Amino acid sequence: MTAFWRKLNGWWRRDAIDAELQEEIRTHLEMKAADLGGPSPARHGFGNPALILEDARSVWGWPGLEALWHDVRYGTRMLLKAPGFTAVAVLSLAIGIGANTAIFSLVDKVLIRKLPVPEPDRLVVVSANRGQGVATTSNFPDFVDYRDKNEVFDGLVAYTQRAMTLSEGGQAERIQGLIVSGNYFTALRLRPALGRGFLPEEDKTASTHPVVVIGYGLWQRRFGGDPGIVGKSVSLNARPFTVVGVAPSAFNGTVAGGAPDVYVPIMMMMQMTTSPIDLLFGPRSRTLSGWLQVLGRLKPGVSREQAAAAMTTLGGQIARAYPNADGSPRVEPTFLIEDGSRGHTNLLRDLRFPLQMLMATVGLILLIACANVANLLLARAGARQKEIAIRLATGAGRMRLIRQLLSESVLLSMLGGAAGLALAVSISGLMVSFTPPNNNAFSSLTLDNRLDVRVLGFTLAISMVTGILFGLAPALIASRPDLVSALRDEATVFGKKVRHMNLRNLLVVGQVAVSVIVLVGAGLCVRSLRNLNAIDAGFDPSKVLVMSVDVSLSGYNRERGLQFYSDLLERVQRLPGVEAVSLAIQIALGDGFGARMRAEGYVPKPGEDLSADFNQIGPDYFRVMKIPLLEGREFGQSDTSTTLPVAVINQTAARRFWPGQSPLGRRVIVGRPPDDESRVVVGVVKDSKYRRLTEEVRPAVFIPFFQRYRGDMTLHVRTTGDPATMLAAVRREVQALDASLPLYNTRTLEEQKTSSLYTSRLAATLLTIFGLLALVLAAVGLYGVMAYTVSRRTHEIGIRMALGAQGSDVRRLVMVEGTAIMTIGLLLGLGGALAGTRLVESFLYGVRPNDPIAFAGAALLLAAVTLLANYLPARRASRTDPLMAIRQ
Amino acid sequence: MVAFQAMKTDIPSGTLYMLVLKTLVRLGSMHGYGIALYIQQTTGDVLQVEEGTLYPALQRMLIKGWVRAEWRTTENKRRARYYTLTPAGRKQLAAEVRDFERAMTAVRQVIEPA
Repeated sequence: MTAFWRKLNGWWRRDAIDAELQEEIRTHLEMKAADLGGPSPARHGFGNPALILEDARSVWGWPGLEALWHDVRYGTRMLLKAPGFTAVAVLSLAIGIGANTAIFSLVDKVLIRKLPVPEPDRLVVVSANRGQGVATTSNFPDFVDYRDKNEVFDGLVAYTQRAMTLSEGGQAERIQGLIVSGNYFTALRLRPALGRGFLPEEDKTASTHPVVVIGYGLWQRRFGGDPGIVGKSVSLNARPFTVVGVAPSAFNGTVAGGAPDVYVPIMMMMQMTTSPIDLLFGPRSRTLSGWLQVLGRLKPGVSREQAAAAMTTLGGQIARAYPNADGSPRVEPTFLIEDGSRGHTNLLRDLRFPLQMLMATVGLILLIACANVANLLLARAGARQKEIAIRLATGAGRMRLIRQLLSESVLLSMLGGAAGLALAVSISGLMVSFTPPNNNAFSSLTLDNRLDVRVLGFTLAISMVTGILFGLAPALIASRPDLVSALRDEATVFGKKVRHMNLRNLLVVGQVAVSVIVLVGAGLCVRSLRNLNAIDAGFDPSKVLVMSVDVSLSGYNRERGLQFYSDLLERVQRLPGVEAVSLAIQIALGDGFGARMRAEGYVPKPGEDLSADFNQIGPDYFRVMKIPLLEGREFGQSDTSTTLPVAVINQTAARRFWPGQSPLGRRVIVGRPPDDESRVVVGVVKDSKYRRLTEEVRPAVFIPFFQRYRGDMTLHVRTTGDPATMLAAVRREVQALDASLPLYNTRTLEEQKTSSLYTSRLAATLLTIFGLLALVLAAVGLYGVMAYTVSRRTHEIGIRMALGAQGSDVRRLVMVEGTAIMTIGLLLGLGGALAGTRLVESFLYGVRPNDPIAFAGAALLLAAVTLLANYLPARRASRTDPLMAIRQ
Repeated sequence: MVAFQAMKTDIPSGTLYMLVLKTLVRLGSMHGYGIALYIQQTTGDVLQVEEGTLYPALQRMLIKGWVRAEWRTTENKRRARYYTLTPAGRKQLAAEVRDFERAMTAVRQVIEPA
């Protein structure tokens, strides 16, 4: 090892070593000469001083590295000699590699990367079926029993995501928190970047230990990486919490896509919510649906199946020990243990399919790019045949030559990779620009769209592999020692190079076919997106601004909260440019929650689904949303807690429970016993879309805000002009009432609608871009092959023209050949697309996977572009001067 | 060992390092010319060290850390590079001498009359 370092060190001072050796040898000669009495005898038996120097110097050399360096230098010279070729090749590769890098960086984050904790493969997501489908959540008392009584986990942690208000230095900010069981950091074996995780005593009694571990990102962003942060106090939801630690920098929580700003122990949950304590921690909560997601670390040697069986047994015991409040038995859960190495990934489920589709697409594009460069290299190999033959003839080994050619192609792919990285950065930026604003599920993706080490490694690896992939065949063919014919310069003899031409035509056929597939995919996604955009949401999203406030987290009681919202509505209504204003807990198309609803006296059939969409709204909500009122009235400020409980239902609910009759004055039961309530229907509104554009409309029920208070509401403002310009004015009104309230979910309804189509838009846009890139690459490929064919056949064409062929005949000759290649590729591609697009059927809306318009569009576009690419060389061929051509 | 192929018969194959190292033990520190001269004279002109092999060998020994080099002035006021044995070189010498003697004993058993 030390010898290695000495040699490495010598490389930096190789000039000095050289000079020393020269002087040493000269001195040697002089001394020898002095001893023997003259310079000439001294030379005798000394050998050639230059050779000695060379031999002594070579001791310091790195033979393998130097050969590589030589190859790279030679390759660079060759590439510089053919700038057109180099530019087209590098551009092709940049497109292929850049697209792959960009998609990979997202795929890595969403589908591949495991949690940065020791032994992530032993982590499992624990969910259970309690008779109503698999639920990923558990209530708190059950979780505690699972945690303490199981024998299959080395640790079981639970958590829930919760937004909260951080006030620091007079500035309030809404942040994302993860409320975690006290064993979270120890069970995951996370070592905090600073300070510690939570102590056992911080996990025992509710509300007694206000401590918090802050996320690395928040620590950097909000506290400037203050090394003395541990022990300081921060305000969460207007209560002081002591910072005890900073989470590790690479750690973004255990809910994929999220990036918690703070980790709060579960015992402080009361400070994070308005739910009463017995519903969170009390024995009564055992019969309620859970609120905690559970992740476990399997003991070594325990399989998921064993763990599921053990947990099902344990869950049964616990269910029997704690029956329902009325004494009836609880449903015994069946446990499901799934891979948790990436944490809880259910929020990113929507992204999985489009990402897989995109990854497959960019893989195809890289293949097209490789085929392009392989084609260019084959063409060049023809042109360089003489050079290669001379090198072979003068004794270069075939391996040495293949290595030389391969290092040229790897050099090309490295250049392509570097350019591709730049392209990837802009594609990544584009993808991020599609991300829904303020969306919890994607926050870590948006915060972290930098290209990291893993992505750079990926790019380097695919650059190497593509370099060898597209370089190998041409190198093997070019170095085939067919010396005699090459040296005789038979390159222009017609029909001689049939074998090369076949491979080249085949590559173009493949390129055309693959780009047809990508184009068809893009066409289908674009058509699907058009259908989605054309869906009538049932409300008018234009010119509506929404903005959420949560006064309960700032310690408002019901009375103060009602006053606040009442004042706010009045102030905003008075603003110039505001047409109408209202409140709602749920923003339309926001994946909202539902409730159970039935007509009073309605006896459901066994197993009948009574779920309905639910919203709690202020006066004038339907006017703001422009949802037509069919019967009755909207809510007013007069609907308060002291007046008759009322409700508005949608058309579907009216038709279901009172077909053919007016529901006005009838009663509905909203909620689940024992918290259900009876309300009188005072209005019916037209159906609209509530959670997503593609939903089948369900019954929906609306109840008045001033009758049943909530602290977290979203202001809905219909403006007369552009709603975005009203943002500052509305914000000022909120702050005039209470400057410490953070605002969130600030956006226009139009934006909300657009971002609800996030995955479809992402897929359609990227596939269109990639489809066009594929088309350009294929066109360049066809152009290259035809131009090459024409240049190779100039002699033959000259003879044909001399014998009387017209320019149009020659043009037809070339066009026929190119069209044949294109047609074969087109047919293969259409066939491939017909088979492949079935896979994306579930992703499409209102388009069948064999949609004739998408297929015909792709075929026409491809035919038009390739015919143009074919026409240019054909026209050049038809302008051949026969005399010049024959003399050539 | 490419350098040794050029040695002809002058120095028994594989012994150059040992000879140079031993010379440095005897002389303390010495320049290349002095080393070659010493080997030649000590063996009564039987062993000729070719410069074309001596200098690559010295470079190799520098890299391996068996010798150190420094520029000094000779008695005749010439600047020359003097080589000195390092502890690693001393260890190497012992190993080479041991191997050489074992080989010589073996060879002697074959060629000496019984």
